[in-house]
Amino acid sequence: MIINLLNPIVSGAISDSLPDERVVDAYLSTQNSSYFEVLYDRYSKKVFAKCISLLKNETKAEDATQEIFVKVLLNLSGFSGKSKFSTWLYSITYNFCIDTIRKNKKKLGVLVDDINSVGENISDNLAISDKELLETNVFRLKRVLDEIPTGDKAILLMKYQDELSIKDICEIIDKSESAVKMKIKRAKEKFKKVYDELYLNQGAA
Amino acid sequence: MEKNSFKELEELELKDTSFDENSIKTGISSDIGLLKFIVSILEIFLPNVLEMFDDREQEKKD
Repeated sequence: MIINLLNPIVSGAISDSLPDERVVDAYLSTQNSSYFEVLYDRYSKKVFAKCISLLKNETKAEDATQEIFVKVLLNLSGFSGKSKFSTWLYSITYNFCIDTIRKNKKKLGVLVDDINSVGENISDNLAISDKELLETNVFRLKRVLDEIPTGDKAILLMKYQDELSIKDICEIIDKSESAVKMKIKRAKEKFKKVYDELYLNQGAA
Repeated sequence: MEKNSFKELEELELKDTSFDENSIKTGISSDIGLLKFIVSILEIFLPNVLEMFDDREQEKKD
């Protein structure tokens, strides 16, 4: 059914409006690499941006992007379609980057700040509203995100850059809704703490 | 439209890099090509190798 709908498009350019999930189905049914290329063209920049943001190195980010798409291609048949393709792809991306950082830190003998680790309790009043967070000066945002633990950074990127729902984030980090909400809260508190340490005496964002 | 510094950051970080979409695409193709090659080699030779072990087992029994 899907193949019949798609076949006329295969010979020419595949429609931009074709949903990702249908492109996946078409790839799985036909093994035609043009379908996979569509997915690559749609998401490679996004994936690379995430990799560079988390790995902080262009070469490593390029290698990671390549490995992530190879992983995606090899596991595409395992994509159940329960979640959006983008959520599934971001899940692979974030987990790949966190694993890479974890391996590198182990090599260096540094304590790992895991995305699933229990956040420390921050007793100070460090609440920051979404509005304040979203309106932070972009250069300061970058600086602060680079200072906080990777797991906290990743969860803030999922929530505010990818605008993923709590449900989607639950799927990515395999945690309950309340745990995800708590992690976001703690990540925001850590953000505020670092922000205040760096910029409190220099005025607001 | 509301300001979202996280989105701005994403664009900023991409601007500062020389992201080469095509070289990564080529890398993926060669990785997949290599994997397919390995799988086809295994498909061709694995039955023969298994058969060889079977024969040896049989010889031992005899």
